Amino acid sequence: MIPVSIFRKYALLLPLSGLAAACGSDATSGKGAGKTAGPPAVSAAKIAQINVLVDASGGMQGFMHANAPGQAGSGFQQTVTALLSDVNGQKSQQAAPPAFYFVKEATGTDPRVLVPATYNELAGAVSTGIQHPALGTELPQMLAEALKLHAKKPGTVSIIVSDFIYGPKNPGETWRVKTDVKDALSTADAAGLAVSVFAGTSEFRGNFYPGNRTHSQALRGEKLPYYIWVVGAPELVGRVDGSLLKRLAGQPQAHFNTRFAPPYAVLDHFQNAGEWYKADAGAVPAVALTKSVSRKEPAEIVLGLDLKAVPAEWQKAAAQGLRLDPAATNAALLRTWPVAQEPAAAGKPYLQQYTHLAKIRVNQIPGAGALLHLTLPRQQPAWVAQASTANDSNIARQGPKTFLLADVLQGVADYFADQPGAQLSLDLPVRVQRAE
Amino acid sequence: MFQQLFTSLYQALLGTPAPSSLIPVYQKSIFPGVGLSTFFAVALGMALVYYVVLNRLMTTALFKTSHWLLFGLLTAVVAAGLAYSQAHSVVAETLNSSGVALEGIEQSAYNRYVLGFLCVNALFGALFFVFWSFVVKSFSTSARTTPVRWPN
Repeated sequence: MIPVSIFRKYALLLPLSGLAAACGSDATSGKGAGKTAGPPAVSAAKIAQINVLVDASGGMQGFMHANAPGQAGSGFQQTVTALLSDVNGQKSQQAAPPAFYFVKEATGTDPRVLVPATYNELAGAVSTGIQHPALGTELPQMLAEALKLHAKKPGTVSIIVSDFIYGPKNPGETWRVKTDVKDALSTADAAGLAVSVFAGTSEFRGNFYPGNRTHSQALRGEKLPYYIWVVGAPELVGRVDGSLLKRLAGQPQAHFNTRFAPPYAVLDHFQNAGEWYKADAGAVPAVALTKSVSRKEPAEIVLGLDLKAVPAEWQKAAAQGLRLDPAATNAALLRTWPVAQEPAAAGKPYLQQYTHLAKIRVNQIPGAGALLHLTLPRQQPAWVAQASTANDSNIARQGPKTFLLADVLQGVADYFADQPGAQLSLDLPVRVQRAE
Repeated sequence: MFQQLFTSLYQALLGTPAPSSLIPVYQKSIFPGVGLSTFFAVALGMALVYYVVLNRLMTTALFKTSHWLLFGLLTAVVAAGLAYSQAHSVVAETLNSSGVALEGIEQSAYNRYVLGFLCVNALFGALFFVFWSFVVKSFSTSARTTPVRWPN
């Protein structure tokens, strides 16, 4: 038998053992700390509402022709119907249900440019034709009206479907098309706006009204271009591009200030040299350099970039075109290469989830930490010049071209000219700091 | 606090963890975890077993200083085993969760560092056992004066 007095003596040890248990569990819960290695969190900004604007002018009628039983429908009808359906299908995921509008010319009896419609009305019009085609509204006015909706409800993203033919009323003023477009956008702040343009071609059956205001031409199934513009806040447009417009990823496109957030991460067990480790520092991938990092023992850090969701043209450009903004450090980009060209990547899922690799060398510890930026400078999309024409009088002969498209998009580019972010297609920050 | 304390204790003898990509794993998880369990579970446990269980609750002939030294050695061995298995399992878990495997230089750096770590922890285990011996020995009846009379 154990005498009771012993327990009194050991009572002294009880608080100690309690402490041990508490600390022990604390230490084991710390185990998970090393494995938070996922891609940086996407910004929390939410899409308030998606507006879909479909041009209902007579010039669009040729895309939305009625089809005989068994006919496949035009490319326009298939693409836009699928898009409308996707937007409508997402209504439960957004803060507000999507809004649908016809775009028409303001007249004396009906001064509205945007006529609210239901999903069914819009989808019906696309598949069987517009019942009462209106005169087309001017492109700048259409953009300005769309932006008015944005001003009323921040966080709105507009998807505008039109042929985007803009011929000024006075054909002598075509030289100022780009200024008109820039002015139309100027109601909004360029820093908070982005425009993505997706181009498509579709067979056209009906009257084509040239942008230079010459006689209309009747077409019987010739291919004509149409465009889907996505307008809204930079990251929201990037998100809509990557989700609702994913089907159009392979089509020619142009992006202005659109913020794509491709997943990327620091790879701490691949071709790493020098003493550094991956630090958890919130949304931006971070690297902590130990004291031993120096010119003699530089840190070499490989980043994995998953560019599957960015435009195909950029993916191709990335292997050659990525740049490093060293942010006052002497960090240098040693090499960028596609994962497909990395022999060691075979059978390594942690590398295969990326499309590109970029190796950075840092040989100096930045005192307070520095934010390096891996960037892809913006390039003028080559297809724009080819899809643009200065005279669309005989469009049947010219093929799928749009009147002064290059000028229209130049106007958009001019509008974003003062935005440093708009000059970069990709901007991926990496924090470099001293190890604690 | 414990994280800081044990990190500086171990790194004073071992240097920065290698490969460097595992520094956060060692500093946040392995050092405090192994340090605390060596201090409390292993060293204190062994001291209690020796002084209270064997030399108070039971009456055994294990009260000599040589027995005490043997227990100190046993503590060191258990501490070394604990250090190795903890480091191994925590590192394996971390690597598995990110889908990578150590290769070449990293693997040999890891082996070298873990070897050093288990030696250092054996030393710490023995030292902690000595410390706890002096705390616990007054609870004993037959080994109150092992290894020395002080402070009883």
